[in-house]
Amino acid sequence: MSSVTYAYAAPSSLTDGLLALETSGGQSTAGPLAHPRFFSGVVTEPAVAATGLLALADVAKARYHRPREGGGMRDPVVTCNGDRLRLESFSSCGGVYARLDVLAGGLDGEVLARGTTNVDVNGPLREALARVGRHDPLHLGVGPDELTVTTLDGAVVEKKVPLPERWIRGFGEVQVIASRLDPVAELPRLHAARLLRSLPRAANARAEIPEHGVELQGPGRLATLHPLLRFARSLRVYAGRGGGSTAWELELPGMRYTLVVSPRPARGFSGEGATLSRLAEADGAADADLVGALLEFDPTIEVGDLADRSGLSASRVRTALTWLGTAGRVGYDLAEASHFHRELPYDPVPSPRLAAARALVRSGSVRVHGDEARVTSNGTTKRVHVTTGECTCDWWFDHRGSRGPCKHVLAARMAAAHTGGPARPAVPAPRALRGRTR
Amino acid sequence: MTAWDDVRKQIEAKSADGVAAIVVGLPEEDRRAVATELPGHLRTVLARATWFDEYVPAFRAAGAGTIGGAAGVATWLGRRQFNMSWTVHQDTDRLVRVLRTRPADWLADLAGRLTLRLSLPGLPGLDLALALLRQTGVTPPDHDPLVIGWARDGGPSADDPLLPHLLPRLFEVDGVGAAMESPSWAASGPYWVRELKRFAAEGRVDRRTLLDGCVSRFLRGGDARELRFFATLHAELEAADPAARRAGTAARARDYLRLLPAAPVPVAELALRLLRELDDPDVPDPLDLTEALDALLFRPEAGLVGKGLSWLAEIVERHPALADECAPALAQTFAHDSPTVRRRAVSLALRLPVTDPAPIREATGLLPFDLGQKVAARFGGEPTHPDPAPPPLTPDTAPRPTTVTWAQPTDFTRLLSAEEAADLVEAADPSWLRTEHLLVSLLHLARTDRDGLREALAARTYLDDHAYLSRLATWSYPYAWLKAIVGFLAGTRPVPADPLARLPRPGEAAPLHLLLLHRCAELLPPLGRGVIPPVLLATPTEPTGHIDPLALVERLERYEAAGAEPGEADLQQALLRLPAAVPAEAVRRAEKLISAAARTTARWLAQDGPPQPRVGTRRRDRHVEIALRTPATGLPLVDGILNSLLRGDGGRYAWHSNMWGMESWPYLLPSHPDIVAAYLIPHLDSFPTAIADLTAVASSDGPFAKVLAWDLVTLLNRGDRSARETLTYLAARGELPTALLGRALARRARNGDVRMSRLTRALEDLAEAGGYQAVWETVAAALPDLLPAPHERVAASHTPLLALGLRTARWCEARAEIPELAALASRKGNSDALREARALNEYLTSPRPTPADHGP
Repeated sequence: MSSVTYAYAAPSSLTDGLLALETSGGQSTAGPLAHPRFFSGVVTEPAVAATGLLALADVAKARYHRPREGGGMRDPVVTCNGDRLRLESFSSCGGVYARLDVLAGGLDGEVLARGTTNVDVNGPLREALARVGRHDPLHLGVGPDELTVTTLDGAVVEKKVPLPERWIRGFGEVQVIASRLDPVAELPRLHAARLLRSLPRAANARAEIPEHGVELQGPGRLATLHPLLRFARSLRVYAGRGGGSTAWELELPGMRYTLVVSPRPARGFSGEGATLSRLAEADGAADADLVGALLEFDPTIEVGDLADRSGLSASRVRTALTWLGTAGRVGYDLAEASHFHRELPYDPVPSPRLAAARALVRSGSVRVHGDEARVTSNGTTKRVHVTTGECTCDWWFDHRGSRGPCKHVLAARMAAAHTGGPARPAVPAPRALRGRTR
Repeated sequence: MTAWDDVRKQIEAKSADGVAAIVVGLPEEDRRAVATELPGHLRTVLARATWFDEYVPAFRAAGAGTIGGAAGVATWLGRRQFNMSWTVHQDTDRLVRVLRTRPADWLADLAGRLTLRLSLPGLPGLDLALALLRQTGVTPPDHDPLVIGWARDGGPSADDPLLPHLLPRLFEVDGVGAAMESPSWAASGPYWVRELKRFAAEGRVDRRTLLDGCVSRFLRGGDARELRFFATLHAELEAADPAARRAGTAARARDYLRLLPAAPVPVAELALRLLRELDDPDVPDPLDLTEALDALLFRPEAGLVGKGLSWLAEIVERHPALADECAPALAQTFAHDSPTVRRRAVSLALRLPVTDPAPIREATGLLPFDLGQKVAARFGGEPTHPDPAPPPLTPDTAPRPTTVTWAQPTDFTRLLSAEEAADLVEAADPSWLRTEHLLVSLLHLARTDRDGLREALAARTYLDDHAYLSRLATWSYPYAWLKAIVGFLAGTRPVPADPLARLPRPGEAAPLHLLLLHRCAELLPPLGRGVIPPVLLATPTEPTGHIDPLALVERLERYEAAGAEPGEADLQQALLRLPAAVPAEAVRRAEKLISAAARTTARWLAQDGPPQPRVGTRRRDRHVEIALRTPATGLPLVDGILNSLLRGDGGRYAWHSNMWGMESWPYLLPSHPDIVAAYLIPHLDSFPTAIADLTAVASSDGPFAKVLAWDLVTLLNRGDRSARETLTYLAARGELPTALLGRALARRARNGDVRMSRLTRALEDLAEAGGYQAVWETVAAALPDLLPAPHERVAASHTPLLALGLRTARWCEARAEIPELAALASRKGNSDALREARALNEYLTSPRPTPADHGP
């Protein structure tokens, strides 16, 4: 397992009403910087922002499926999109994603640059944040102020935490999964409180909200919503068709807090395979590079606009956005129903399934005959139906496409695309291979 | 003999003390020689030892005594083989003895390295690390597991050199509080609390520093398990003198205020207790105070909010000027889930000396009507409506819930073309109704357009598994039989010899399945003889699957005219499809016929409706077992179906035969809906079926009403959508078996297999949708079994059901005498459940209003 070392010029602090969030290396409109400075100004709702930051820190620290074991805490990621600040964190178990969007109405100050970086969160800062009240003025600086930069050369705070590959992949994939969720309910504050408080808390509990058609395993993972409820105006719930991941979004004064929760506590977002089909498309990488070069930390990304500027079709732009999402280069904002640009300060990790599929194609283990392909791996030959994405392997038999295509299907599609075989349909039909069930 | 030989001998003897005695006195070069040999010898022993753990102490002593560098020793002691999850080291004293010969800075280095190797959850090596840290007096490195280990290690001693270094860290490291309470260790928490209190009293440790540490730990957050230890410590350290305590609280007043909104209950209660003691009007700041009060009163915990209300009352009493600032916080508790909180909030609001009643007035609508009225009388505002009854459900407002199992009706008057028939065969494994439709069409085509049919069928490629079929001794699916028929009609295969031998024996397949197989199979022998049956008797004439008796008699007449006998299964299925009402003409015409089939039919038509079995149900574990009994009719397939023991595990039949063709059952037995239900019920849990499937075929006052009620409770508890729809549908028709449902609910709630809250919510929804009559009947039926016996405690989970009972009883103006309720109502006590029980009992026993009471 690799690890990451965050290097800060000073620990983040909150003294005399100044919340100084220190930054580690990141990307900005001015290129890569060791300690980028993004914002300096006033937060108009200090108590909400402080509680939101604490919620993010709690998510970062949590391992929801094994609450008694701590995990290494990875510092939250902050993105300055010009008119708003987005703070993201991803749970240690890889199954809960949280984002606090401090919107234009919640900020009053100067944007110094746009970009993405990590921010330091530490014990004394947590303590100080918990002390912030509604009437305490709160100045916010994201990035070291001039004084720190001139007096301190380099990093004084270094934190090394393990960085599992599945964690980075999950952080990317959750954006793609979020982009497929639809709103199912909007509840005003009191109703939201009643609903959330009625859910069981146990780690392995299962909650069903029949009136909204939402099913949630491990509802204890919504715990960080509770302290924010008293500020909330409303709660929006998003769900996918046929169950799976859900998203919970609190509308707060001047900001929004969003949680995306995986189908089960012990099932992280990586391995859901939501992105793989698109990633297997041949021109994806090149299109992603092209589209990626056009992004400038925009708060919302217009597909049509990008299509015009890149000369690609809207559908290829969407595929490129899936690529960029998996690489941690775009996030998805459910409330705006739009992607936004941010560059996760971690190196993207290719999916092992995709890598295995590429290796199969390279080694010539795939033979395509029309709509059927035979893929030889580990000494046995699997039959793949290219169009429907069915395979005779055990993994596909177990999951039936619920976790995306298997490596054989991916390999077959790559090979088929190469030989001009049948095109992939928009929605692969999860149907049993005949002859397999009986 | 070299030093290594001596050491090795001691290792072989598993004598760690022997090793220690040798290595302590070894000169430098001998040590080095031994250290060089150790790894190789470790590999040898690992390879051959069956119980390696016995060698571990000797190896550790040898390494600690001979390896040159501190880093090397740390690595050696930390080897995985020495630190398995089951290993318990008891060699700290020995190792300390062995290591004593090393220089002080070397030891300090080792102590630091061993500390940094500590890891959770097991913390192997903790003992030695602590011993060396204490011995060397070195400043321990910043390493969270060390602090947790130190906390777990039993408790502080005043002369522990680690105390000044680690005590402040105790309040910073996550997991310390949980470690103090961890049940897997002798919980060290109480000992810590006692000792720290003593240290503070003796002045060894500053009391204020400890209290500040606790408060800052609270502010950093954590769950109750993590913070409970610090809450206890805090409570023990507080000054006994009220004035001194108040001074301490005043100094940290803002911090305590900030704990009220979200801290775990023990911490929030502690903070609230201290804040309530303050008497200075300016501490805390009124703005901060109202903010904290606002957040505190929004919390879900009724106990905490209750204490918060008392605090609010105290504040306002002391500083009446703050009444207006406190009003919004108070007003929001009107929406609290706890009736006790709501009642207290209202009585407090009525006494509140506000100058601006707007916040309270606006919140009046959140209250139930009776409380809302009181508030409105004092402050104005709109109380909620007096909870008028919703418009009652009518059959047309509740649509029939969708079934998931049953097939759509098939139109048998429209026969398939040759191409369509060929398509359907190719589609493989169609449902039974479609198979039946296909059979009728194929026979018709074979009579009218044999060549066209042959051509259409032969053009397809699906006939390639004949070889496979012919190897099978038993054809267990209708599709196999269909293939044989199609193969013959396509002219590609002869009819197999003795086809009926391939049928499963009666005990091997479920009775309904056997009927279907027989219907297919019996077509083959006549086809082989070149005879195509003139008509199939059993083909339905109605969308429900029924056959018009006159149509059946006509078909029999055609057989007689053709001089043929119909198939036995065909005849028996036809009889099962006859309706209860038979026109006299049909009986007359049937009696004129002479064939055996016609005589059987005439007898069937002459009886008083189709035979109806007696039904017995019983519950075994979680499964239902159903026995059907009917006097023998002499028709084997019919008797098989109407005399059967049906079980969830399929009983003695091949499991697949229990549900193949399930979707068509209502069309096989259109006059026996309860029998269809009997066949379905055992599978309600194990197949993707819905309760609506059951209600679509079974009458709710029939033999399965009890099963239906039981399953409704199961499924409502699960939040099943179909169950909720079914509940509404049946209630709208007045067909809900309310008495059975209420009793099932009570029994299962008592067994603890359902959650009262979920069932109450489902009933509440039904009542609000207009089905309150059914809900009241259900609640009334549930109460006698549900309510606690005189020696039992009353459960809080009954409160919402009692409240719902009162609402629905009012809506239907019900009066009743429920002795169990009256007994409960007469108990002493003040709980919400008792209060609701009293209110309900009072209403039920009050005299009915005379028409004059309604006023003009």
